[in-house]
Amino acid sequence: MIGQTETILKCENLAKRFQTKNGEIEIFKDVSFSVNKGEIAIIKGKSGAGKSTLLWIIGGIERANSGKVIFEGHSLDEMNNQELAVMRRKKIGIIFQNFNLVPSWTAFENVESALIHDGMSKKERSEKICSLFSEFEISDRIDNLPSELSIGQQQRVAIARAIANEPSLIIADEPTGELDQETAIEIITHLTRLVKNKSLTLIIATHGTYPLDFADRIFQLSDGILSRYY
Amino acid sequence: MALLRFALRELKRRRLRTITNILGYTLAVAIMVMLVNAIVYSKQMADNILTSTGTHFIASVPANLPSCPQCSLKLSDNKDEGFVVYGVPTKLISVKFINEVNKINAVKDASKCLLYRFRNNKGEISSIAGFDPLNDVAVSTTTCAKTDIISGSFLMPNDKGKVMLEEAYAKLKGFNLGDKLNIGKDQFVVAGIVNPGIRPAKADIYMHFDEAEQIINKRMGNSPINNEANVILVETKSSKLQEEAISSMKKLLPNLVFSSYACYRPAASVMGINEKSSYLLLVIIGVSTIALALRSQLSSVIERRRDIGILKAIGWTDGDVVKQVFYESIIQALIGGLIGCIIAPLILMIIPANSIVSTATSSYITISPIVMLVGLSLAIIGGVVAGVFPALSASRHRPADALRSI
Repeated sequence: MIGQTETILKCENLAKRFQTKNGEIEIFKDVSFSVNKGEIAIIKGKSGAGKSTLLWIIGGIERANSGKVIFEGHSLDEMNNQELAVMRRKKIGIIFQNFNLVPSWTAFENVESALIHDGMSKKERSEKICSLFSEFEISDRIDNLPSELSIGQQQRVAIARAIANEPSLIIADEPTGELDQETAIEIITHLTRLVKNKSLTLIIATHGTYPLDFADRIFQLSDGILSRYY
Repeated sequence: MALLRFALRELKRRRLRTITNILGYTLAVAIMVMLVNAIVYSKQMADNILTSTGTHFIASVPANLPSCPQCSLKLSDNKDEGFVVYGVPTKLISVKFINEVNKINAVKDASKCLLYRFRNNKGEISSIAGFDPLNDVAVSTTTCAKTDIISGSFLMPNDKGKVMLEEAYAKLKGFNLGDKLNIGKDQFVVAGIVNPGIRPAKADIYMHFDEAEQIINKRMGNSPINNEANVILVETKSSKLQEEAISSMKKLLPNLVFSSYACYRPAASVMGINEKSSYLLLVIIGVSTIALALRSQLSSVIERRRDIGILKAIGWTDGDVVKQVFYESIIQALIGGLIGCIIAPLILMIIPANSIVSTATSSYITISPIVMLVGLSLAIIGGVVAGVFPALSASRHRPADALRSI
């Protein structure tokens, strides 16, 4: 059994800059941190601080200008786009800020979209998705389009999609940003319980005001610098 | 299968765009199938006509040309009479030579014929064509055919003492069916009235070769014709082989002069122009359809930039995205192509063939399954072509850019 202190993610001297019409903008620099397996890490920061960009770099969606991301011993910088896509599919679950469900697909199909390239049979996929929907108590919404779901239900579908492949790391970008305080706490409680039950690692980017006492580590991203807050 | 389901779902979501694309493929394939079938049908009809146009000719040797082993000059004892073709006195050619002509590969049928200008005791001139009814292929296109009969019956191989008269000649001379006609000292019964129109070996009186030979010999004095004819009637296997047949005959007998209606080439070239313009129209329709479908598919991909970004973010590879977009394009092309293949025959079953092809001989244009299959295949190829660029464009979307643009 792998011990709790095993490092699953290590970021070294990450820097990200964007080129704009008015010149280069530095989002952050020298970002270094690590997260151990099974931990819940929070990256706090104001809107526009670069939290999403940092999460996307961790998740292999975005590439850093410099620095390294080492996930489960593999450097993401050395992977090509195809390898990154496969890694995201198998190892990383992503929960987006505004759920990002495909509007024309049903709740079932949205979750299925994360599973169809993994060689599972249709029956296996169906069983898995139904089990997830049951776990999230949205079984009656399985054939509904996202537009027919409440905000909370949409977020549950988004979480189900993120964990469908049983990833080892979940990154959640403002997972409660669109929710009211009560639903936000409910979702966070559900997420943390899930993480603990399944021994997952969770990194959340948030500017939320809800209590963060469930987190193992809290980082603050401010003025392009990441500092350990807790 | 799941990807196909997702592709169908996307097509349903963008219903108007999908219907427009499918309609484009439907129209293109339907027009293509109808046009190609009409062209093929029209070509068949034209070929039927053209195979009997310009496939025949007559050959003779003018009397003033140098002598040759296969021919001889024989003159009638009577003034103003003789072996005349288009007013030109001709030599007689051995029937053995005509048998040689029949061996030429390009020749379908060659037959002996006597074209003789006859002058009766009142001084009236008339032309006689003596032909062999057994060689009906060569005879029918050069002299007169069974279909030329206005009244009465066509001369059969066993008919004796019978003649057929050219319609204008019969009217001029006041002959009717069953009347008796004197040629020299012989009497013949008018068995038929014919109107051969324009034929190379046209005459006033048509009779059996043997009987023509007999009455002519009665006027030849000391030099009767013996197994000879002054005209060779020739039918070639195809219009395109006419030149080859003439050339081969020229090699055998250089003095031969040919009379033909060389109308195959201009007619064929006109048909070629029509076909070319039709095929050009097909290419324009095909290219336009593919261009519109490509533009539509590309717009669809641009509109779905966000969704494609999400899918790539959750682990879809570039190849998966390409497949998805490709399926959508091909499904539209396939559905459109199939509907086009169903509609085209239905339309052609409604429209009478002669309203499309003036030379039609059947009620409706026949549909070739091969043309339908080709139409469907081209629609699918069109779907592939129209899907390539949008699919590659979609695969190039960087997920971070797509997500950031939300």
